[in-house]
Amino acid sequence: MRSSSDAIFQLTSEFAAVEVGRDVRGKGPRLMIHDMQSGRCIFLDPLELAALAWMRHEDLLPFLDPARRENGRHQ
Amino acid sequence: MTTMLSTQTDYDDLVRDDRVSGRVYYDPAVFEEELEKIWYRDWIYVAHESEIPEPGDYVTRRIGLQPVIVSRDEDRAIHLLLNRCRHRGNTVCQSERGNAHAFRCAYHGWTYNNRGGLVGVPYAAGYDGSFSREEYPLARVARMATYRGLVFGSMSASGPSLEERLGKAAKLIDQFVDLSPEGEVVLRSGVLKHSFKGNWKMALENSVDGYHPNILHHAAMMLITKGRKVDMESVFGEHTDALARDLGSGSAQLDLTPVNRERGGRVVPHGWSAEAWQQYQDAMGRRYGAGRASEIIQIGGPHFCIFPNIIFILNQFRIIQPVSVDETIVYYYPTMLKGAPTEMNQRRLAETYLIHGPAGRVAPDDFEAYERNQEGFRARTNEWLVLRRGLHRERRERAGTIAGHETDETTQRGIWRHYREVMRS
Repeated sequence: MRSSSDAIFQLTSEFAAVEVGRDVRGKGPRLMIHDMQSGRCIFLDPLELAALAWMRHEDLLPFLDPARRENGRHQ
Repeated sequence: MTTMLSTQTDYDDLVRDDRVSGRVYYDPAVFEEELEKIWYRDWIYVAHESEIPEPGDYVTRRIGLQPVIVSRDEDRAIHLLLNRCRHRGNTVCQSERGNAHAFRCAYHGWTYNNRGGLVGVPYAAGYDGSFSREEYPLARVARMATYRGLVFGSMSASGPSLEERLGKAAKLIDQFVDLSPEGEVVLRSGVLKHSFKGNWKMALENSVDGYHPNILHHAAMMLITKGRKVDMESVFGEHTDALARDLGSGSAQLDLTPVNRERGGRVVPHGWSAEAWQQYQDAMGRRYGAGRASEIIQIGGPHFCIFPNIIFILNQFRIIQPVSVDETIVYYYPTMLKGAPTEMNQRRLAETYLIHGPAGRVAPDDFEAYERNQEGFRARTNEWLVLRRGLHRERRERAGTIAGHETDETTQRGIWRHYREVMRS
């Protein structure tokens, strides 16, 4: 589900295409990430985003394992 | 029963001291052998560090015909990986450049980090317990080394080090890069790509051919010098003090130092403002001291090639990319001098596209000449290309290099001597 964000922009690479925007429908602002390939969407609050800022890219690699899409968490 | 005829090529026969056979430019068997003995054995320039400045940046290139990825990881280390999925062999990156910390093969989704490690595969239950990700990283180019920001790779695990291989050419790279007030050149201003129907060696030989500029590029020379007090006869003509130099190991130079010194570091006036010029000289003085800075500026940029695929001329790196025995791409990368005034770098960029762009004044002449060359090789009576010019007047210098008059074929002979040695090994 895409959000009615007030500023959406697209980021694309040869591996993925996403829309990213600031979502304000909740009680506080969130970052909306819309995977244009699967149609899936996630809303990240500032604390979650701050946690991401502390990560190294290698910490994110488990999330890039294509097998994660098969275990139900992403279905 | 049939008897296989020996197809071994006799390079001593094809490459003589004063001539080469046209066959080395059109024979597919020679090209295949070059891939093995030159492109998959020697140090090959692949990229410049400044092309991948940010963590996650990557560019795709080729070593010979083999596709490679040059990536920068989050710790800023550079990796040189083969662009071939370990599953079924697809290229995993298609773009010429991008930013990604992981590469996913589009065919079956095998996903790698930008250091080459296999992160995961889809439907992993289809592999039994003996399957280990560690066994399937992207392959690495056997050796990688850098010099002054230039990244080279070698498919051979053994052989001379990069610095040994660069030999006397290393000092000329220094001369090129030291023109920057911060000691670095930057390649982030695009690239001109010229494809031609001809053999790759023509572009290498021509880069250090001082005989042709005033003839093939006559019209360009007239345009470039129009309204300026520049006599190109004294640069590329019979009475020039410039030299053609065989640096050894297939590297060669047109040494324009005597001409540059006379003209304040540039054969052709540079065209930037007096203010920018002063800023540049001041910045150079701060880095090197006034005396050394003046010397670097007076000597100017070097004009040379390093066998087999990189050429330094004017403001550019030119990279030779073979496609087949009779098709080649040459990439012209304008280089910016880090720390130099913006106006000066803008002029460097303009000079590249005005002179070497598709409608430029010089490069299109060269590509036309290469294609006429390849066409001429279809005529197979007396196949020799004559390279004897100046053989009687070249001399060995104290440094061990061989110098001839700038219009002489000393440079071509040096390239071919090295070629013969490599190809008969």
